[in-house]
Amino acid sequence: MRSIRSLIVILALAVLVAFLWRTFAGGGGGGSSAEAPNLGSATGAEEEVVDVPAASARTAKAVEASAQRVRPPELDALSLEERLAAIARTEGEVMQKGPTPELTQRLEDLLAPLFEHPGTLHDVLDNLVARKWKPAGEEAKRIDVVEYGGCRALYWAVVTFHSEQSPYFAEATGRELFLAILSNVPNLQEPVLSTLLEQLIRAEVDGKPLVARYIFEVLELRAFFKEHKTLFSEVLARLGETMTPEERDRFFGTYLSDLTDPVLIGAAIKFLLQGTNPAAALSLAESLFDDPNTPVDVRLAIAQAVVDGSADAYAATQFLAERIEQTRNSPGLWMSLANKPDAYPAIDAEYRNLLANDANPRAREKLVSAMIGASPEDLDRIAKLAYEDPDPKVRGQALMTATASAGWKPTPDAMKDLRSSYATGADPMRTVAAAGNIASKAQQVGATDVRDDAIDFLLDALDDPMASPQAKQSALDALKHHLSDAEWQSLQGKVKK
Amino acid sequence: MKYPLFSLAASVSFATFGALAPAMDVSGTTPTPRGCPDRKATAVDSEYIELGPQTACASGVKLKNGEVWVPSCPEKLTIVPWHGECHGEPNEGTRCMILGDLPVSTGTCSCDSVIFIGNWVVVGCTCSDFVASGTVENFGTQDCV
Repeated sequence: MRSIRSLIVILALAVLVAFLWRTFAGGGGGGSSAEAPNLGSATGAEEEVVDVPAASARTAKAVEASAQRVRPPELDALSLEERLAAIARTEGEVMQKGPTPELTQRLEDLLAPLFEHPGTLHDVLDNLVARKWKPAGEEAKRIDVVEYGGCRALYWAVVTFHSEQSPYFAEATGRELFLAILSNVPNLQEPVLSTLLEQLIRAEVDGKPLVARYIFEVLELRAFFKEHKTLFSEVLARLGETMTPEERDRFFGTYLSDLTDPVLIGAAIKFLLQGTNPAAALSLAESLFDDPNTPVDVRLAIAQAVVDGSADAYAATQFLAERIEQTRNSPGLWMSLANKPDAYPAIDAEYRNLLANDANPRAREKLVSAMIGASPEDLDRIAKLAYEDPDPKVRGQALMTATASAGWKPTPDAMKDLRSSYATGADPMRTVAAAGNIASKAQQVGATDVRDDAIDFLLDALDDPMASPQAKQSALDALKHHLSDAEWQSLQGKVKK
Repeated sequence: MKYPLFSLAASVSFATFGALAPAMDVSGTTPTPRGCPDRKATAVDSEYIELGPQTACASGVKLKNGEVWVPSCPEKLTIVPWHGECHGEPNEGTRCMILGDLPVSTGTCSCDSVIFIGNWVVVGCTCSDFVASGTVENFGTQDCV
């Protein structure tokens, strides 16, 4: 099965390599292209011929050194399953106790036989694909300790075989294993897929992502396994992080036309915004987003890319606010904006601008939601919005934002202010959610008076004829953490389903 | 309330999708005139959004030859509950209608040790102390008659 996959990969690589080489490697100087192996079956074979003897000698030396250091016999006697579980558990111990020399040595002793017999690592991969070690029944959605150990062993192996500092350095062996894992990505099932893919994406050698050496293969596999192309796009997206602005322009500029792949479009926009001409990239993002033919998921990927990729928080804020009809129901975009360094002044400026014209209340509400990253000094200003903004939903959101902010502290006046906002028409559902925040935070710091006041407010909301079913549901959800099961169950009937 | 970040079992509360709706008649974001638009709401799965820079957890594992693995954890996690949206999905005799808003919650995350529960393994990061940080509009499907 492995050989068939390898053949498919090699054949497929040969078809596109010339095109890809012409497209963006031909100019030379690109870090990724310089790092990537010179593809084509002949070249790949040539590389193996060059590397194998050196690698074999190195591996032989490592085996010899390893043999001189007598491994504990109980470790040598382990079955494959026991070994993989022991790798996972030893890593767990290292994480809990710190990397003591004994634990590190034990991990190395557990891994060494696998490095010495790379065929076993391919067996591990085959078993992961077949989910031979998956837990039974409903538990199959969780990863078994043997499966996790298998993923970790493959991670250590690909990194070790590619590392020139390692006594097990064997680039051809590492290449074969890495490509075998990559070409099996579409065959893997969750949760092994995400575990292994994440480690593959994060694997680094000499401070550079390992996937950078396999750029052509990733592109080819992406083209070959069309139904799984976003998986490979995630791998490609990792590459942009270590590219220069010029490399980003050259590489990602070629992917803007594939409107069926939100992951790659998003990565392309993000990294072009970090390329040599961010203004042009932003215009491109705007026109792609505004094109009525652009699918919804691609639009959202573009918006996320603008938030993540733009160095200009004002531009990112305006991008979202001006497209409020398409962005308002994607809270993640606004939360990402909130988390952007130095975004608060940009968000505040846009909000003030809209408020001055009493314009776009939906955008104002989302802008206020993005103020959650405000410093403690700015929290008073946000709290004031709960009285000042003419729109009830914006006022309700201001209460939510202030009470959800990390720097907010439950003071005795908190509930008094909230009740006052409620009485003057702040949106009930949002106000109730804010009261839930107050109850939780008061509970955390032992401010029982404030907590009890918030609980009373939530109980009253359940009986308020003006409160919407959503507001009552929100109150009921918040009360769950503060009442006994019996008390909480008795309130269920107060919410109209 | 705690959610292991990579857990598939994390649950959130949300209003019933497809329940009967109040008076406002919308298709997407634009109010429609009387008549049946023959559209239904599209289910949008709950979403887990990692926010902030990734923090390296613990000291990681480093072999003698220099290879390192350091698990990481985001600063915050935002959970958008499962909800309905109007994406123009055709369906004879129904309309896509707003049902109301659902709360979106945000929690703070911290690194775990690698934890073994029996034969299972949970790795990475746990997010807790969730608070309501925003809202998402929830749409459902209603018969035109």
